[in-house]
Amino acid sequence: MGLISRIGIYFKYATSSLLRRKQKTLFSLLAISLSVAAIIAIGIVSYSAEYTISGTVKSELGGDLLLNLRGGGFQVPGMGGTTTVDFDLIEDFLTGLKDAGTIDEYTYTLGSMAVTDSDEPRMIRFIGIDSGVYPLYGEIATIEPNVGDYSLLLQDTNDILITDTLSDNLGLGSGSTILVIVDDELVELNIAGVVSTGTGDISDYAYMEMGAFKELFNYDVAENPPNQIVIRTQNDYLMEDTVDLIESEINEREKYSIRTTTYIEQSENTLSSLEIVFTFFKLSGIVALLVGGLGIITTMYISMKERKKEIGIMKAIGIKNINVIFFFIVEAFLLGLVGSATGVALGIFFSKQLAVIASSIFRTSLIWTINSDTLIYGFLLGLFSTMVFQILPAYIGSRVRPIIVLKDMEGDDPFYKDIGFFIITAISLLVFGAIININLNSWSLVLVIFVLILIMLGFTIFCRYLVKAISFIPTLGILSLKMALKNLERNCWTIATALLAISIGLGTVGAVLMAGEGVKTSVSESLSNNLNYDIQIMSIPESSIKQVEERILLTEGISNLYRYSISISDCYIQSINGRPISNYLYRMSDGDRDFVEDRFMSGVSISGQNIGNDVINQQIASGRLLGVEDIGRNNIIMTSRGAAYFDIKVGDKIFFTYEDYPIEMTVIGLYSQTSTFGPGGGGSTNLGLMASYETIEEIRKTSKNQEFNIISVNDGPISSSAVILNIVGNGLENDYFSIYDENGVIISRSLSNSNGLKIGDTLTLELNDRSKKFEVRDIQNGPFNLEAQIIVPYRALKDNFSGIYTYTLAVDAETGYEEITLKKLGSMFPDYRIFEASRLQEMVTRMIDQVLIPISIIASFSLFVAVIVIANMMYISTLDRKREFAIMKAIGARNWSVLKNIAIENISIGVTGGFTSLLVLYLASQLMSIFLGLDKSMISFIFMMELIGLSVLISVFASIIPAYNIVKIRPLSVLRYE
Amino acid sequence: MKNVIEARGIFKSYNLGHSEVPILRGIDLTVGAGEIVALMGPSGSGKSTLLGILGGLDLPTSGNIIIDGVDITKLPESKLAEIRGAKIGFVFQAYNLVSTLTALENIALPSYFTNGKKKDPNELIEIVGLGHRKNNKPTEMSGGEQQRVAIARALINNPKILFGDEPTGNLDSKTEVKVLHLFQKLREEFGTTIFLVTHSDEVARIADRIIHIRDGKIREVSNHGPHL
Repeated sequence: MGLISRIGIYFKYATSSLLRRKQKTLFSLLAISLSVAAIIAIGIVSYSAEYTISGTVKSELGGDLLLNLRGGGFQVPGMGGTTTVDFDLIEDFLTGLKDAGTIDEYTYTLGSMAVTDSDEPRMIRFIGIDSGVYPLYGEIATIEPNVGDYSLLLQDTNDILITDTLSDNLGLGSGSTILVIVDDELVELNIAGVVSTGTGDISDYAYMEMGAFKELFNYDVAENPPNQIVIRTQNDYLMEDTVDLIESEINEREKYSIRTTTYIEQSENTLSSLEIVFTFFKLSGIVALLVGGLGIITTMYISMKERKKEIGIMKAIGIKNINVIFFFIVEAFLLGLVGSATGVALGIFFSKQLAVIASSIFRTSLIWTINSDTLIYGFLLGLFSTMVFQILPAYIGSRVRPIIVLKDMEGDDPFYKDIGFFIITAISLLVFGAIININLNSWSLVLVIFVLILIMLGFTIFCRYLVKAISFIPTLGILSLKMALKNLERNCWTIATALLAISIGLGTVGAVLMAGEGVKTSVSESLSNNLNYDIQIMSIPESSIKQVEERILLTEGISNLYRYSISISDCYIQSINGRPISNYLYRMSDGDRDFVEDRFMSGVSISGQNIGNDVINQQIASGRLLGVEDIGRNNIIMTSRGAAYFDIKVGDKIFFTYEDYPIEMTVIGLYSQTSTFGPGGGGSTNLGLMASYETIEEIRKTSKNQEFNIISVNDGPISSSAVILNIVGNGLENDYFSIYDENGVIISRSLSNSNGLKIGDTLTLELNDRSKKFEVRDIQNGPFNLEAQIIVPYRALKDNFSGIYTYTLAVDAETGYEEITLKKLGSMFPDYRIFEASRLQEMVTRMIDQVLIPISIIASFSLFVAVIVIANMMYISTLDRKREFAIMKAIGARNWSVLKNIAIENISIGVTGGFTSLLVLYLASQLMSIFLGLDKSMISFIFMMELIGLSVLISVFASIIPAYNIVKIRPLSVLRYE
Repeated sequence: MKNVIEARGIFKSYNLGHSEVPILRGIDLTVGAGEIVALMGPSGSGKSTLLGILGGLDLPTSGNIIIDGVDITKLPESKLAEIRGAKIGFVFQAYNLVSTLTALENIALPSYFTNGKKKDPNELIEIVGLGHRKNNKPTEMSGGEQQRVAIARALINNPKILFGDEPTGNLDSKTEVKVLHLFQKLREEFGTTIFLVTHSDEVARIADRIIHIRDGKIREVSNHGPHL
């Protein structure tokens, strides 16, 4: 007979066998479907998260690759700063890359300002764009008229598009004209349309076609190049090539310092911080699959045992062992096919709901995205896993001796004495490992799964003996209890499987909840340790700080008051001991260099420690910690871990720039953080740079950008318009202004052009209803410090504008006075924000819960599958007692008595399952204390009772259908046929 | 007459718990080609055990079994399965058909997995007189019909020897006679050697030889020709 006939008979036998054992088939299908659904749902959510994050990053970045043409900050006179780039060279280079196909497209924007010629003059910011390509990602949505593609609206030279915000402010819409003054000339512009930025940005500007913009503002790109260029590439490889070419052809050759930022680096920062979440997701799916597999193996093994005689017949009539195995494998193939297909459909359905729930983990709404790879992988995983799970029962079945047809006895050798069994097991594990590695993408994680399987096996053996031990518990003459316990003993392996399923299901969810509680406790303790104050008063202006401090000190119930730590960020490391930082990077390994460039070369923070008041969580490694002798001095301490990257030792000098202002700091000590949280603590790899509070307080006043309003020019009123000031202090202002100058400002050329301002002219600046008139001392090429149009000394502002630098005070109340002190301070300082430290703990707890809930739901997939497995085991167990119940009914027992018997058995299993779950939980808590650094969590008595109760509930619930079937049995039909 | 079955010094014991229970205690017998042999004896005498060993379903603890010139005691399981498929046919008291396959499929089942010359299942089903039932499942047939299907199945691979374990045990007397007629027909038409374990005198009557076994040993062999 041909191969086709043989295959036909395999399928015919498999189909008819599955249909004959409807209940077992249904259970198996449910287990497979739920397992596959778990993998699919979790896979889709993970993919959606990665897709959402990457997409968001590209939109925010403006492209795949961002070039920063300015190293950061403005050119400080006398400083050897970054070389100004030759923009034509850059453009030629990029055009060459575009022609070569290395990049897809590039673009940049230019900005300038003009004043409207109206009764209420208004400053408008103009942005020149290349409408053919801008934006590379995202869109400029047209509002009026709603034409879709905004570029259709910019037809003439004088056409502009205004944002909806500007449209509201001007009271003008599409079709209107507006007169602006540029270089003392009146220009009429057509408002061709109103657009929305779509980013929620409340911006107030107008778009112009690039050519028209340059013409209008007489803008020379060579003289005033843009800060940034965004680039789009066809794929990530070309993007990396572009980065390399910029480095080699531009930076190295021309000695530029163009910084490149790819969307991958941006999203990797986010995605790498979520790596542990994604790994947890994948493992949850695989655990659900293992639980399902447990049920499938057990069901198929029992199904095989029931067919031992049938197998014996097959072998008696000449069918070989391998053919017997194929009969079972084909059966598994059909089960896997139907179960996996159902699982894929269910998984897609679940994933939609799960994506909504999981959004809180990623702090953004997820764009639900299905990728075919996940579906195909999930389907094939379910299909092949089912076949792999069937191999062992099939192999054991094939070893059945044909003599069983004649003699009703167990003629087989135990399978564990068969070397072939172990070979088959090893091959099955390898195949299964290869399949799951496609998803986990890590052999070490596959190894973790193998270890888990071994633990599960050991746990099952343990449960088996536990069940046997329980069956010997004194029953105190209660017959139903005796019958139930004896049945447990008889079906000890089946019950052990059910116990394993309950333990994994409840244990996984319980472990996640325990971990969450552990994190909350740990964070609360750490916060308590680090927050040695009860109340914070924030945003106190410099002009008021002394007065506030005096008033608080006079208040009853205060035990301590100090100025809370501040920090400065965006400090750039330039050199160490006079050697440029690039020398250190050059000598690092590739991995270290990438890490250091990513973490430390885009700006670091230096905290100001309030010596004597701040909580010290540092353990000295070398040198010393900050002391009173360091107050006001440029002495810093840092983590020994961070110092190791650059081989920094005590006594070394680090040269930073802060807002382009140079700072030289001396390292006086290296430390390791003693608490889990905080800079340099626990798993943190920050540099943990700290100086005295007073030092940082001075440095932060060196340079700061702040938005003001210009309300008057040369004493003539104009409609208020925003402008950014760069406020210089700490001696830096003396590089620009005479030391006696209290009213001078330096303005940018573009501001000068747009307002017709010359040296000697005046402009009045306003902030928070306070204003002051200044005189223009000089006009220079801007912008300053990245985005400012005016430089002004702090000394010229501090008396008139009090809120430029604000302070935070930390108040510690005496014990028992916390509430009263809070109320008192609230009424004394109604204008300031007052924050209670204990509320921080509440906020953190809430945040942790928001993440914990979806993670628990994902972990509970294995619990759902476990319920199916338990139901199946209960069914098999009660089936064995069919004859027993039939006899009971024959001698007069009512349905209720039968149900009571079943219930007692299930409750016994449930209680036992609760205890085994506790064991799993205890082991999990030990592991978590090792790997997550959490304190060993105590499992509370109430939690224990809840777990046992839930286990009983699951056991009883899972046995409802089997119990109902058993109760319906007619006694005579069972007794007639054995 | 060439011997198709030779059993020499057959001992068989089973491990039950910690003790070893001897079932066969030194069996020597031969069966010639085309013979009908009946094996009779009380319950527990070792009839089924001997049948299983002669039929290659089990191996003796010691001794040799030569089936059609091949010592099957030295064969690995896969080769033994080939012998079972090619040279031996089995008929059981409980018919042991696969309930989910039709009569025709049951008959053809062994042929899907063996090589060598095979009979046409459609022909066989006609020979056993069940051509009109070929698409029926076993649960839709009477005991006698099922047994005839089982006999047809046993013949699909042209076996040299047909073993039967109480083949008429579950049949009424009328049906029993029909089945026995069939055995005789097989021996006449195909020269099949037939070895039957039985309690039935009717079966013994068609045997050329009756072997009596008691307590694991052959006690008596009586020879007589076919009687029906």
